[in-house]
Amino acid sequence: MKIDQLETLFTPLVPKLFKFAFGICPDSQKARQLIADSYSVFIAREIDFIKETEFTKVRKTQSILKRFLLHGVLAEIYKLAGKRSYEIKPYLLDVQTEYQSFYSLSLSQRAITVLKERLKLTPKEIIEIVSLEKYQVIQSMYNAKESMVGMEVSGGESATH
Amino acid sequence: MEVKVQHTNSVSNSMMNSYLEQRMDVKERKEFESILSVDESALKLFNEKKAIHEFFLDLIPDEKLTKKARYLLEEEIKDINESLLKEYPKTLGGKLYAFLTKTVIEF
Repeated sequence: MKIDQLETLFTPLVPKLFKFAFGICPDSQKARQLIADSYSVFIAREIDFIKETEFTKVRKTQSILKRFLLHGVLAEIYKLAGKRSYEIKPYLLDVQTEYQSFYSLSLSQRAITVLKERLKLTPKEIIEIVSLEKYQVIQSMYNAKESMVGMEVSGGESATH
Repeated sequence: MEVKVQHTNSVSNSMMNSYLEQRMDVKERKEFESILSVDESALKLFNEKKAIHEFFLDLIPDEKLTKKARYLLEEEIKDINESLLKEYPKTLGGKLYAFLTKTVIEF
């Protein structure tokens, strides 16, 4: 696959990646940096596979390649965010009231919530991205919802954080 | 404050969750809807649960990239692709160009 062909596949994925990265870190510039750095790591790791893979105009094959790129970069964003938690933390404390309950969740809860509710991924896909067990993902989903709604209703602190 | 909706005899909590989270297939959805159409208490509980679910969805950020931010990010991706994937011609000139454009760190 050539550079321009890779870009053809990757560019439409950028809005989804941004939604995820912004759910991790509520700062546009930091979120973009997370995407760029994660993309670098992913491409560096998969460089041989990408170079050897033939670009095709067949829709089904393109969609498999897009999924490979999307899931790969999402997983890298999640991993990198874990390593940069000290950099992300100040942004979490400075969010609009509207999303305070969301940003008071843990990293894994925020990631799982966005993957499920905004990117509409299946539990199986989410498990692949966050590398957690199925029961942990399901538990996170329900705890996040309970915590956010509970916090909003009571106007108090999050119970699960 | 605990926010919980109890289940009824005909519809369980997990059924309501499956419906709201669109995890039911067409047949299951129809069956679920037909139960709600005849069970008033189940419908009432379901509507409560649905309202909580919609409230929850509103609390999740759905940020969109501005045109400028998208442009900047795509330019950065192009730079990454250039530096990681660019192949230089295997001629002497190409090899020389690749050699001269490598950073000290890459060595």
